[in-house]
Amino acid sequence: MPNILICDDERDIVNALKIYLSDPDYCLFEAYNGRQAVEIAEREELHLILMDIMMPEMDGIAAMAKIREKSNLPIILLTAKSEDTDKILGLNVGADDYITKPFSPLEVTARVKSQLRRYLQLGGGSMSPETYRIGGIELDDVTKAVTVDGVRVALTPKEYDILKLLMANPGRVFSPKEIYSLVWKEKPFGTDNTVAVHIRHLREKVEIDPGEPRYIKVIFGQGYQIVKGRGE
Amino acid sequence: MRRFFRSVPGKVLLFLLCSISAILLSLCAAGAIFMIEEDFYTLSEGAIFDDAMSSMLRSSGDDYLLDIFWNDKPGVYQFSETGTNVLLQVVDVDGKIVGQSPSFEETGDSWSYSYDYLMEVSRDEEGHAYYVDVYDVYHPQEASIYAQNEDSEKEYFHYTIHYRFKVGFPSQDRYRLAYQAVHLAYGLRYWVYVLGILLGVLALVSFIGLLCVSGRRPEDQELHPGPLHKVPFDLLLGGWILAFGFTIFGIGDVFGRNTESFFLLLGALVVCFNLALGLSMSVACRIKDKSLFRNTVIAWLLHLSWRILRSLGHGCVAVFRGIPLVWRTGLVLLALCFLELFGLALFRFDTDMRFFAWFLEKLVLVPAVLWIALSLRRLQKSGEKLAEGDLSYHTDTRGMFWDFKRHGENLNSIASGMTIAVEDRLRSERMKTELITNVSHDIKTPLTSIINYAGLIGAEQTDNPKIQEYSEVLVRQSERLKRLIEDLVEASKASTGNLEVNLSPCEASVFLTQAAGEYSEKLEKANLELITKPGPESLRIQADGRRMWRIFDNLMNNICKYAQPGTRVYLSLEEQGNQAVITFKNTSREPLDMSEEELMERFVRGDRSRNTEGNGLGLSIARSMAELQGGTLRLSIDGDLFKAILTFPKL
Repeated sequence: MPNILICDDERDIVNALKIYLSDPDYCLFEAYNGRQAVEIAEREELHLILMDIMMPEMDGIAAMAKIREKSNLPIILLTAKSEDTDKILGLNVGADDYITKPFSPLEVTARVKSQLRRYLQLGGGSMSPETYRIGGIELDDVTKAVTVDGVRVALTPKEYDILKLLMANPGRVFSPKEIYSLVWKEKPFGTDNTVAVHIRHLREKVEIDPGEPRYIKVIFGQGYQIVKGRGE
Repeated sequence: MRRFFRSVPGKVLLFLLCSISAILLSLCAAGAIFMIEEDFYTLSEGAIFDDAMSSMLRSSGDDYLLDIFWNDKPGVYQFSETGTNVLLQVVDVDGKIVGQSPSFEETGDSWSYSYDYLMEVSRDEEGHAYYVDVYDVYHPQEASIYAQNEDSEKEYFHYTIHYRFKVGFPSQDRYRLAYQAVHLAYGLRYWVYVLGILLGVLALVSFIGLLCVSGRRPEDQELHPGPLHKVPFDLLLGGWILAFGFTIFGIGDVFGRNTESFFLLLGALVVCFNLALGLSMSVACRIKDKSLFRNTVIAWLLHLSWRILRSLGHGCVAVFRGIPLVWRTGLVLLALCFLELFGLALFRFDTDMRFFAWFLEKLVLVPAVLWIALSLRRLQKSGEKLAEGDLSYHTDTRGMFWDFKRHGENLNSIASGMTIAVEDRLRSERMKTELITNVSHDIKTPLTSIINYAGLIGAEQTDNPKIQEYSEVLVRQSERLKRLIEDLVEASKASTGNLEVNLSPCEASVFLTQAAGEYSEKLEKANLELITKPGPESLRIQADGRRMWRIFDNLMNNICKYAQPGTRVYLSLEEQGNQAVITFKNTSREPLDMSEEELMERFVRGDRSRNTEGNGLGLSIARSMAELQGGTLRLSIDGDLFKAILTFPKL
């Protein structure tokens, strides 16, 4: 039974999150500032922390740094700050994911589940040499099966080929034309949006929020790339 | 020690020390000079003594001869030996002894001198001598010529006197004194230098000490000038020079060269020296409080005349500057004309001088005109810089005068005033952005709760279906509010340039295909057909992908919202000269009854009734983003045809 700590100085938000995560499988802890969060993290064996950044006494960044000294459990930051610099700081200090306020309940539960699956299944299951893994995405080239955080997703053959191409070259930016010639094995005529449409569909299947993808990034004006999940 | 010398007794001691040692030093120097003159350093003591004795003895011969002449007793005259060390024998021209000291023969002849004298006897008709004179004779023949001259009324006698001294100079007379003096001086002839050096050092040290302590008191470090300090220095110096001049030219000349006048002169010199010493102390004191030159009549006069001249000059300049610039220029030119005319008239007949005067005038005039031109050029440059908007440019007013300087300073104050205004505006913009950011942050936290609890209400199991509906409205409207807040922050940042932009070269056509791909479904849902016309693939521009996406996102969103369903939407890329032009074309669902400029304004929406989704910030953000990346966004409305035109410089 995963232990989840919810930490926010706004009691209403903590209560709302408790209701969303009121799965009988979860055991929930609550804290209202960074100090309490650190204390609970030291006392209990936690599996995931949802934590606000702006809090009294000790802020989320400091608390996270403190917790990271001892544990590598997934930490999701909740933040009202949508500034890029704040996100980058949070991820660099050791957050696994972040959710900007105001968030939707579905998004929170989806991200919590995703992080938990990855954390609890990490190291389990052997990988065949034909298996690619980027963050929570696993692609087995033998069975042609793709799972995201352990959940099987159904892809069309072209979508599968595109994902395989990207996963085989993590970090590399492919232009739409390159993807077309490598996947369709044809010379691209003119420029059409076939590749863009396929990528869009692929993101809808793989990402929690296709508008703000974690893995399959759109480098606008250049192409597409797959990046390793956060915190890896 | 230091305290002692600063006290009155200490100063008096130093003064006396200095004065006395200096006087003694001058005596030493005089002695040394005297001894050098008298060959003390080349001759033996005996020789010097000889010299001294010979001159003394030779000059005393007449006394002895007169003693003999006026003697009535017959026979050899016997000189008295008491009170004198001189023994003598007087012999006439025939070798006959006419007078001698009784013990002359008994004395040794270690000191013996012989001199010839000529006695001139004037007699009256009765044969009585009424006048007798004695001359020193240096050549015996000369004396005998006189003696044999019988034509004269005068009688001449030629004598030789042999002198000797008593052994050991037992009597107290001037010969003994001379002997002792020579002996003493000879013994001291080298010591005089040692003594002189010592005295010199002493005088110098005490003099320096005197300068140091002048004006000081033992109790503190302050300067306490004496009453003399108030007297102008040049008066004091003048007084001293008068005193000294009187000493040299007055006393030295009026009285003859006798002993009294000599001592008077000496005394006056000593007084002068002591006055000079006092004057030096005063000088030291004046130097210490830096009033040596200031406290003089000359300085006072100079200062007065300088002030008069300066105020005169200032008055003239003020009057001149009071005249308006044009009149002033005219006056100067007029004066110049008159000057030229005057020169021409003056050197009417002298071609050389005329040429020289012309040359002289140009020599002055050309630099002056060049200087004016230079000043004007500087002012012109400064004005140009200001016009270009370079407010940091500072007009260099060094070397400028009068109106030029004033003009330059005016330009500088304009620049600084404008700089302050610009800074103020930037600061207020920045503060506005910060305010919006902070407020949005504070709104987001309660908004989170609203969204979440609205969702929770909807999730509750109730029999009333309206609750579900109402909660959906709450969620939808909260989401709108969230988006509005985010857009607001972005719009304010974009318009004030507070956004980071990372430009990199991009293929313009890729934007089109990617945007088309991303929006294919949404367009389908809106029943729109997208037609992309990607231009040449090689067309590249400098852009920041994320910012560019925001532009495309906003424009495509607008199309989805406002385009007439069932129509075609065109997205095209063209190359026009140096520009890459991306055009979004669609047919509006509603009639567009507002201008392009109005549409770009913040919070203005395509439908005045405002019943569609959106907040009216999209186009404004898109335009700001385009401008941040060095491009432009224009709108064009032709009936229902709506065009958004993005222009970026081609790479």
